[in-house]
This record gives sequence, structure tokens and C-alpha cells, in this order.
Amino acid sequence: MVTRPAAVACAVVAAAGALGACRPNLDETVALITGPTVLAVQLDPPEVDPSASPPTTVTLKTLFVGPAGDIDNAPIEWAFCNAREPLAELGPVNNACLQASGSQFVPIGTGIDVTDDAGVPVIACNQFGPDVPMPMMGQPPGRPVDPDSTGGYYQPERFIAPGNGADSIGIAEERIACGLSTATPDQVIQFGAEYHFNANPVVQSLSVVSSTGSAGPALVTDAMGQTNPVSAGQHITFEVAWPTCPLVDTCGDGVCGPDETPSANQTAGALMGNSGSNCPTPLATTCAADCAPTAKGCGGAERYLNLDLTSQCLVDARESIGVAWYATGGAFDDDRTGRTDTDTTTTSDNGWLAPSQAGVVELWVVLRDARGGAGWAEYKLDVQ
Amino acid sequence: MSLRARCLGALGALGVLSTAWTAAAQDSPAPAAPAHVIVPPKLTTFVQAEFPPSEIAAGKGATVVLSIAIDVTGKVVGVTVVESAGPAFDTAAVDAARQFVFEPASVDGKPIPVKITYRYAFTITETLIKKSTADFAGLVRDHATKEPIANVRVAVDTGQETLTDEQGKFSIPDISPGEHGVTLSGETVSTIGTTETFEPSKKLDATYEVDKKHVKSGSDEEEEEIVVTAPRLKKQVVSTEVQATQAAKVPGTQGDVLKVVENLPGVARAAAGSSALVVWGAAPNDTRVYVDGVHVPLLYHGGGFRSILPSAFVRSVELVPGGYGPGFGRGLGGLVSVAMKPLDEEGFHGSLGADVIDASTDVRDKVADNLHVALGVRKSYLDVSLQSVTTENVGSIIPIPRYYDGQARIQYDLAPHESIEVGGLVSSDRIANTLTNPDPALTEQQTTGTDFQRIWAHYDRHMPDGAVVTVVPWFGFNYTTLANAYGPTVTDVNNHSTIMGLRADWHGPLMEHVRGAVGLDAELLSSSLHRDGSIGAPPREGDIYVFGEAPPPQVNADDWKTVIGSLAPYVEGDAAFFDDALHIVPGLRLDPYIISASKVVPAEGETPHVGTTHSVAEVEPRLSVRYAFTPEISVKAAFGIYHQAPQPEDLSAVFGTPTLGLSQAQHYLVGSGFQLTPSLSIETTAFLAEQQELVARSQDQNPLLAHALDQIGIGRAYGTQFLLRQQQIGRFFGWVSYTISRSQRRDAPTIDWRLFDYDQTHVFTALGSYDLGNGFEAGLRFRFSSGYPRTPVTGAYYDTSTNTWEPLFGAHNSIRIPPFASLDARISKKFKFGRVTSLEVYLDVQNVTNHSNPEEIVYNTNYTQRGYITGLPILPVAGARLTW
Repeated sequence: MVTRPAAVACAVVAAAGALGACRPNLDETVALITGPTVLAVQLDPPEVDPSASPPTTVTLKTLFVGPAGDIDNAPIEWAFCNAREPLAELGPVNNACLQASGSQFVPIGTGIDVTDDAGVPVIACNQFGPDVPMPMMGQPPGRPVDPDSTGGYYQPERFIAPGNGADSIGIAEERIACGLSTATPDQVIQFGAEYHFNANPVVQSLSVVSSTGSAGPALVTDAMGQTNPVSAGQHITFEVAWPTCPLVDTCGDGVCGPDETPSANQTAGALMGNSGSNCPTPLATTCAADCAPTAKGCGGAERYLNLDLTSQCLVDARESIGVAWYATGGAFDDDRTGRTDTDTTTTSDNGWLAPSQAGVVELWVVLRDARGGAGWAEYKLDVQ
Repeated sequence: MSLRARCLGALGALGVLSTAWTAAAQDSPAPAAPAHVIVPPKLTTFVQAEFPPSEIAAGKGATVVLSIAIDVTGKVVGVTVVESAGPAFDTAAVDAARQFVFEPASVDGKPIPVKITYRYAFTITETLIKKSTADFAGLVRDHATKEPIANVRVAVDTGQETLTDEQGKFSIPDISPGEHGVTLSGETVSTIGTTETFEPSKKLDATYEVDKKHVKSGSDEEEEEIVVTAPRLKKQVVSTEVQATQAAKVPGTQGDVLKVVENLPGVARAAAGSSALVVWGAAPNDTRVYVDGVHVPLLYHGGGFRSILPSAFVRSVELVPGGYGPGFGRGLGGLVSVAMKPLDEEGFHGSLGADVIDASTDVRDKVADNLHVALGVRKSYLDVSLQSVTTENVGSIIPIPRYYDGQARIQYDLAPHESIEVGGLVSSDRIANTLTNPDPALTEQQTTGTDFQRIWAHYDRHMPDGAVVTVVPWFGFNYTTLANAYGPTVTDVNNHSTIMGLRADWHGPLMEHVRGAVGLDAELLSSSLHRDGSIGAPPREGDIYVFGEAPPPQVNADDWKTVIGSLAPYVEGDAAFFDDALHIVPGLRLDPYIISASKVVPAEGETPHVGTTHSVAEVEPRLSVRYAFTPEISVKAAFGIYHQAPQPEDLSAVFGTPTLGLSQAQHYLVGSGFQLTPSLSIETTAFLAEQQELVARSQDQNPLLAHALDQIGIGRAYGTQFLLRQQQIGRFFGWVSYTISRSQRRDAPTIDWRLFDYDQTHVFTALGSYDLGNGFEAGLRFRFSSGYPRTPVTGAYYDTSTNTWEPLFGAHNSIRIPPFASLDARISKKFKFGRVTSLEVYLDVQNVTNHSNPEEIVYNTNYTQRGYITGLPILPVAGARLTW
């Protein structure tokens, strides 16, 4: 395999003992809102089965903002893109999905929030999942699409949103439940019983951390029509919190976890998973309270069942949570913060320097989980 | 040494003549007389005759026979020449004899006058006298056959020179003491320079073994070969110590001989921190590296700071950018062949060196008759030394290479021209760094490791007829590891390989004007690989991406085994015509391959996997022609077909294509050489390399299973390179090299040609080293090269799912990183302690002018701004090396 040099040595002045800077100083921040910007898209539900009958209605909600705050109306064009990405392209989607039009698109609608009753295209698991067409006689089979590290497959959606002077193109991705590409039949049964669709994360609260390190009362969200006073020029540490999801499944805790199934039959099937292999013994309990008729999700870092591609074992995994920070004024210490999948903390902090002049600053906090879910909250800060 | 004349007198027959006696002798017989006591004359005062100056140059003595008349007082009264030895000797003898004083002869106690016969001998004897100059003498002979070479010009930088006689001997008297450059040149030998130390009142007796030009078989000494000193010069000098090579004096190399390869024409400048060797636009993996016939996976440690072999072990390094002969193959690019120094020194020797990057030591000893051993070890500590001068955990942030290497050799001389060596070497590299981010999704980690070990047996025999037999079986392991993490997307690639080979070669004279070579080149590589993680990491040549960009989030995993083997017999001839002016060197290599992968399709559940094996035999003709219009002007041409097996990493059923076959290339070369002076030459070479069946990522929107890679790419590289080279003349040596070239790829018939990722249009190097005297040496090196191609970012789009901006690209590799320019300097001082011990301290400064050289293009988060990562600023490296 021919590779490019992947690392470039930075400047080192060994004799002088000084570490020379080698990266240029570029403006890396995107947290300051200076024009119409799509900050996030929330798909509801965040995960669907393309083969569901009837098709699952999908609602796309856009967080479209400007320097004055939320933009509630905008002609954002939405379309599914059915162009599969060649292996030679290393981006998230086929470059053809970034065109303005073409036969590769299935229009969804126009607007900030759009609803698609037709659901994702039924061929999604063929185009973007592990299902490949049956080979022709004498022809080798096709290559299935590879999942991401969470075992997920995604149907891309392209949007065209108005921007500063020119429209901007972007993508959102709907997680599609297509099953497993390489698994034993028993594992397929277990996965079908114990894998539960993703739920969007929820901003539980945003607080100001005091000098003693404790979080203060939650700020009032913009939906409540109130502002939150802050001092001009003050450096504030914000703390965003999201719900705590159980680390161990307990029936009745309000969350359907990867060790729970909605019925006894499914429990029996799940217990047969990973059998005859070096994989861990499956855990499964029936919990209709949490898992029926639909699995109850958690707005935080959920646990889910995943196929480890190296060991070819079904294992419990946990989502990471990423936090994106935006404001119409001031400056954040970091544009992005978050927690890894192994970090059980359900909060994330970030510093913010308030503007030196009085005024109202819009602030948004967007949460994303590892399986493509998104959620956000908006606040008004009254800089005094 | 001078000649003195010594004159030895010897009394000859004593002839007594007396008038008194004469009369008595003529009478009638007298009655018996009573016995008389006769005492001959006795020389009491001898006078040394002056050896005739006119006769000293002849270097011969002589004997003059005199008749000396002595009176009753013992005084010489007459001298006549009885047997002449020539007027000069006669005169000198007569003048001296006239001054002799005797005790007179006597009869019964009574003094009598006599005449005697006296033999005066003049004899030449050698006497060592202390003189202020030195004498230089020796022998020049063929390294291969040990036959003396006549008419080799031996020139000293004082202006004194001579030609070797029919016995290969030479003599130059009265050379001023100190270090002088010595140059050997001639029609049948390559011009070679070295440095000798002359001591007053001593004679330096040197034997030089050189390779005659027509002796070389296999790859010809044509424009496609660039031989770095000390090339093929082997000498044994009685009273001098081992010499350093020119290569170790090149600025920027820190005394590392093998790093000089980077300064040769046809070699692209490696990016800062890269150890890649890009020759004539070929990928780094396409150029093969050999150490004494043993294939090794790399020439330089990670980061490119050091080569894998210490300079003390290196005799020569040879770069063949292309068009090499049938003795080598399995690569589409060039050939780097490192020859280690034979172990033939008397006594215990070694060296100990250190600088800010690493420390090394080696020892060499003759432990018994015909048995030599050598050991070497080196370890880096740049990560530790940086930690001591910075407050940050620098090593975890910046990819600082950590390496060590070691060598061991045992050579046994079976006969005067037959030896066997058993040796081994180990090499290890580690680079690790972490870039943390408050958002774990942006935290990056990278760890790479490359280890290899080799053991070999090297048998050499030089036949009386000039033939050479070499047999080298070898065995080893390669371990490479790569672990990357970009947020949640990890990549883990491991390759554990066992490799073995056999090289057996005979080359020598077949008939008058014809030499030949026949041999076998075999190699077997068995690999066990694991890879899991992103399907797009690590990036491949030809990938369109931005430095620092997150890899594709799609992941997979695979474990597989491969076996790649080939057994290549070859034959080559070298026919000389027109008094050695024309050489035609045809060659043929038959290279059958076997390529096996353990999985033809990805594993599915518990289904047993099925492997794939295929074999193919390739015929590889090679041809080179050289014609010397005059001893100073020659033209050359070469052609060859080459094949290369796929990399084991590409034979994965998940990440690659298990059924990949061989890639192919054709090399075409033409060139000329001009010997402007005995030590100044210029060589030009034009080249074209065409490649087919290159491996690249599948362009299909719906690729087939186990076909992530396609083998439908083609490539081409063409250009011209120039080398103006001044061999050691007096105190100076240096060269200027320039290559202008273009290297392109076309990954599939459906897409356009693009520049190769390692294309560098212009590569210019000018360097020189000057002996300042008193142990000081100074050197300068200037380098200029075009920047690597890159694909421009023309815009960006937002991925709301991952909260990342993704680049929109323009034409593939349509822009370049700005050019690179650097001036490097080196100064060293050698302190000598006795005849063999020395301490050299040096200061090697790269980028003396602190020129800011862009090494990579980077963008801000949303691709609205672009900047450059710059490479090394001024970098002084101070070091010292003790040699004994």
C-alpha cells in the first residue's frame, strides 16, 4: 500500500532549546454567528427502518440562525441523495450529492422544518447499507457499504440554505437500521432483539459555574421569552448538562437498554446470540415497560448494542456526546467540547468572554451523540 | 636515505722491487744463503678517497688496482694504475693513495724501498638520514584479480605525480609533510580520490586496489549509476589509519554516509520529517534497498534523521535510479545498494560518537588469524534531550522519532581471496504523538512502529581468472504497526512478516573481450496482517484529501495472511569491442512469482474462508550499451522491463483486492559523459519510465466484493538529470546535480492524468567540501526543489451530523506547495592523537539562513483561510566522534 507521509515534523531547534512554531495562525473559530448559518439539523426520529411498512414519517428540523437570532422562515431546499460514494472519495458523501440538482436527488421539501411522509428511500440499505443486489449469474457480488464505528449506516440528505450573498450547501444524515453485514444467524437474532433505535440528545440545562466550581441555577431558555443577565467583559464558565442514562439496565427505569427486550420470545432469541464463539455470553431480560410498544430512549449518552468488527462479537457500547457552542457576540474558549464514550460525566464546560458593550447576545448549545442524534437549546444573554 | 661512497682498501699482492735485489737475482746460482726476515710495509695512515660524484647516480661501486712505490721512510713516492675502473675512480684512488703513509718494509730489520699492489674498492651503501620530507611509493592493482595496473596516474595535490610502471608500482619522493589529497586516474580505472598523511623522514608505502572499469558486471557504470565515494577504492596502507569518506563530510548529513543519497540527481527531496526515498518519480515502496545483497525495508529511520547503518560500516552506497541490470528486480523504481566495508583491518578499532540526536559506537577487531569481528549500536535520545529543555511534553505533541539499530559481523578468511561472513542487523523506529482537543471527536493520536531484523551469510571468492562468486542466503523479520485515532474513528494496521532470500552470483571473464554473469535471486515474503478501522486511513498515494482532515468514518476489520515469492535466475553478458570503447551488455531475468492470500472474499460469520493463489512468470530483458568516443567522451543507453508484486497490505479481501497481480514498468535511458579533466566530469541522463497495472482505489460507485482496489492505473515519469562532479582535487571535492522531471498517474482509463503525489519538477543540489588544513574542514550545501503537488480546496460544505466542514476540491494535484530552498553548512575539526586515534568535533547547521520553507498546506475550520505548515528553521547539530 503506497501511503503519503502522514506526519510533518514541526520545527525543533534542539540546540537553542526552543520549540519553534510550525502551524500558521488561522482563524479557527466558527462559533461567532455573523450571517445566516445552519447550525444543526435534528431528524425525528433520528433512526428509521427504510423497509418499515408503512414508511416512517421523518421530520427534519433545522437550527437556522443569524446575527439577530433564530431564523424561523427560510427557503431551505431538502432532498435525499441516492448516489453511493465510490471508495476513491474520502468525504462523507458522494460529490454528486453536493450538486444543486440531478437525478440522484429525491426532493423532500422546502423550509426550516420539513416532513417527509414517504420516509427514506426503500433502497437505502442497498445504496448505503449492508444489503447489496443479488449478483447476476457468473458475476461476483457487490461490496456492501461499510458501517461507521457505531455500526451505523446513513441516508444522506442535501440542503441548500441561503447564506451571506450566496447559498450554502450542506448535508444531514439519517441513520438507517439495516441490520448487520457480517454476523452469524444467532447474532442477527440477538441484534434484532436488543438493538434499539437512537434517540436525540436533550439539553437538560445550561448553568453558569461559580468561582467555587459549582453550577448555578439553569439559565432561562429563549423559548420562555426571558433573558439571562451577564456582566459586560466578564469571563463566564458555562456548564451544559444532559440526562443521565443508566449504565446498567433495570426494568422500569424508563430506558430500554441493550440488555433488555420487549418480549420473552425476543429474550430467548437474544440469549442464543454469540453462541459457539469466543464472544461474551449475551445478557437479555424481558422488559415490556421500557421496551414496548416502542423502546424508550434516553436523551443522554445511551448504551446500545454494536458488532465489534475485530472480534466479530456483539458488545455493549455507549455513545459519546459532542457539544457545539455558538453565540452572536463574545468569544468562547473553545468552539467544541464533549465527553468520550467512556466518560460518564453528563456535563461539559466552556468559557465565554462577554462583550465589553451592553446588548443582547443569542447563545446556542447543540448536543450531538455518536449515532447522529442532535438536540439544542437557545438562550438570550443580556449583557449589562 | 642517501648514498655514501665507502672506499675499502685492500692490500693486494705484495710485490717487492729493489734494484739491489734485482742484480743479485741475475747472477749464477749462489750457494745457499742463510734465511732472511722480511717484513712487508704496514699502512699506518689510510686516506678515504672521495667517491666520484659522477658515479653515485649509477649506484655502482668499482675497484682500482694500483702499484704503490714506498721508500725507506714509508712515504709513497709513486702510484700507477695497474687495472683501471675508469678515469673518475682512477683519479680518486690515485689521489688518495698518494697520501697513504706506511711503516717501511724491512729485511732483517733494515728498511727497504718496495712496490706493492693495492686494490682500492669503491662501494655504495645506504644510510638512513633524517630528512624533512616524506617519500611516497606503492602499488596499484585490480581489486578483483589482484593484478597490477600499469599507467595509472598517481597525483598528489602538491602537483607531484607519476605513472605506475608495468608492475603497477609508483614512487614519488620528497613530499611535504601533512595531509595531502591523492588522486588515481587512468583510462582503465575510475578516478578516485583519497587523503593520505605524510610524515617527515618516513616513507608511505600504499597499496591501492581499485576496480577496473571493464571489470564491472551487472549494472554498468553508466549514467544511471551514481557511485558515491568511497566507491570501489580499497587500500591497505602500512603507516596510515582508516580514512573517512567524502560522503561523511557533506553538510546536512551529520556525518551519515547514507544520507548523501538524498543529494544525488534523480532523488526528490523528502518532506520534513519523512524518510521516504523518491527516485525518478517512483513511489517510495518501488525503490528497493539492499545491504550487501540483503533486502531491507528502508534506508532511513523515521523522520529521516539517520540511516539504518552507521557510517563506520559503510564502504560505498550506490544509487541506480533505473535501468539496472538483471541481477535485481521486484521493483518499478530504482535501486539503492549499500556495500559494507570488508573486515580486514589489523588490530582493534572502533569509534564513539554523539550529537544532540543520538549516540553510537562500533568496534572492530581481528580476534585471530583470518577472523575479524565487528559490532555496532546506535540509539536516539532526541525525545529525552528535548524534554530537558522544554516544559511541555513535547514528545507527545510533536512526532519525534525514537530509534535504535545494531549490527554484528564475523568474517572468516578461508583463503587469501575467499571469505565468509555471518552477520546480522536490527533496526527499530517508533513515532507517537497526540493532539488533544476539548471535543474528543477532534482528538488525534498516531503511533507508528517499524522494526526489522536480518541475519545473513555472505560468501565471496575471487578466482585467479578474475571471476567472482558470491552467495548470500539471508533471513529476517519485518514488523510494522500503525495506530491512528481521529476522534471515534480508529485505524490499526499491523504487519508481521517473515522474509528470506538467496542471492547467488558468478561474474567473470568468458573469453577475450567478453565477460558474463549468471545468478539466482530468490525471495519469499510471508506476512500475517491485521487491519481494522477507517477504510480510508492511512491515505494512499493519489487520495484527494487535506492534511489533518478526518479520515472517512466507515470502518471494517480483517485478518489475513499472504505469501509472495519469486525465484529469478538471470544471465548477463558484457561484450567489449574496438579496444574496450564499445560495451554491449545484454541481460535476461526470468522471474516467476507466486502470490497467495488467505481470503478471497471477506469472512462472513463462521463460514470457513477460502484463499487464493496465483502464479505468473515474467520475462525481463535488460540491455545497456556504452560507447566511448574518446577516453573523455562517452554515450550510454539502457532499457529494461521490471515487475513488482502487490504489497501484502493490498491483498486484504476487505480493504484491498486479494487477486492483485504484478505491476509492470519499462525504463528507457540515454546519456553521455564528459571527463573534462582527470578529476572533473559531467554526466547527463535522459530517462523515461512507463508503468502499467498500478494499484489504486476503485473508482466504481458500486464496487465488487473484495475489489476495493483496482489494478488499471498507469503512470509515466520522464526527465533529465545532470551531474557535474569534482573528485578530490587538492583540498576540495564537490558536485552539482540537477534534475528536471515530471511524474504522472492515471488511476483509471475514465479519469484524467494527474501529477504524482511525489512529483518534483526541479531538484537542484550544489555542495562542496574544503580541507582548510590543520584538521579543519568546511562545507556548504545548497538545495532547491519544487514543492509537492496538492489538490486545491475551492469551497466547503457543512456536515450537520458531525458538525464538520468538508472541503470541495478542484483539479487533482493542480497546485503546488511553494518551492523549498535551504543553505546548509558544516565545519569540523579533527584532533589527532597518535597515528590512529582521532577526535572529530563538528557543527552541522541546516538552513543557515533560517529560510521559512512551507512543507504542507493547512486550512482553518471552515476552509475560508489557507496557510502553510513550515519546516525546520535553522537547526544546528553539534557532535563529536572519537575514532581509534
